[in-house]
Amino acid sequence: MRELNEAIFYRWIEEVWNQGKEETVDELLADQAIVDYPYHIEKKLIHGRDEYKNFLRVIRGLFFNINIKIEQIVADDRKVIAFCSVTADRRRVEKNGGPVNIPAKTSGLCQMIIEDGKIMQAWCNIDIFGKSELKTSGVSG
Amino acid sequence: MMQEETVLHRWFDEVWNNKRESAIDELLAADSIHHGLGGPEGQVMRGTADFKQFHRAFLAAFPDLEVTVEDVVSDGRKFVARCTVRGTHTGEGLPIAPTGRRIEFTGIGMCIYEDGKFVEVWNEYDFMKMYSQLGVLSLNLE
Repeated sequence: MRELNEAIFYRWIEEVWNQGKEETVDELLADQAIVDYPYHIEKKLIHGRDEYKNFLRVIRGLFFNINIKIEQIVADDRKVIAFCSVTADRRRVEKNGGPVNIPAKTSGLCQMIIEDGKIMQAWCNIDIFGKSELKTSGVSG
Repeated sequence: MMQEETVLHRWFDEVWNNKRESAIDELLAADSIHHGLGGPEGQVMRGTADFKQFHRAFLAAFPDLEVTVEDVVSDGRKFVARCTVRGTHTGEGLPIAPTGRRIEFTGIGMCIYEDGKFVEVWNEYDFMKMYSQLGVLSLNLE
């Protein structure tokens, strides 16, 4: 079971995030799944496949060439957690200018609860903006 | 509960909730490696001295800091804790002056535990949310 859960995690990262395949969301995410992903100042949970696909479109609209690599993974018969490195290009529209692509590099840890081959619940801590946003805000701690 | 998982709870209880700095020497290898706590450049923090500096600064900023361990997962060699961090920003220690604001954010830490001490730790805490709650950053993708 542990190996199967790890395989689901690897497939999720590769197909959903690196390739943007929404059909894999339908296949692997339970329709009643809850995902806690810190992408908004207010705590908002993602419920189910449709909300997740919408979230995926938002992020993939902001970032291009997303490449997530699993660096470390821990799994038991029900839970999987992986530490991942992330590279992507972020598109930003400059004042008085056109869009520019800014390379971003960051990392994250994600936990999934998997039952009967479906992702039931997930928590992700990935700084989707990369550390550069903190730097440009003058925050360095 | 496995011994190592107990140690993980002990780490958060003693080091962070009880704010006992001496517990760092008891639980952390002198040449330990910490990822994810070294600031916006992503520097790796090494050893107990660097960690103590981070610990002092964070507790100075949030004297009432409380960490709740929500879940622990292990495969026998690596251990992971998913946590919620709460506190009030009433002291110096961050690059911004005390705001008096409450913070609540989540994080996950993965560690390798060998010979009774943590030797390498990967941290991903939602410091973006923390700085947003302190009014430094504005996050809204909608």
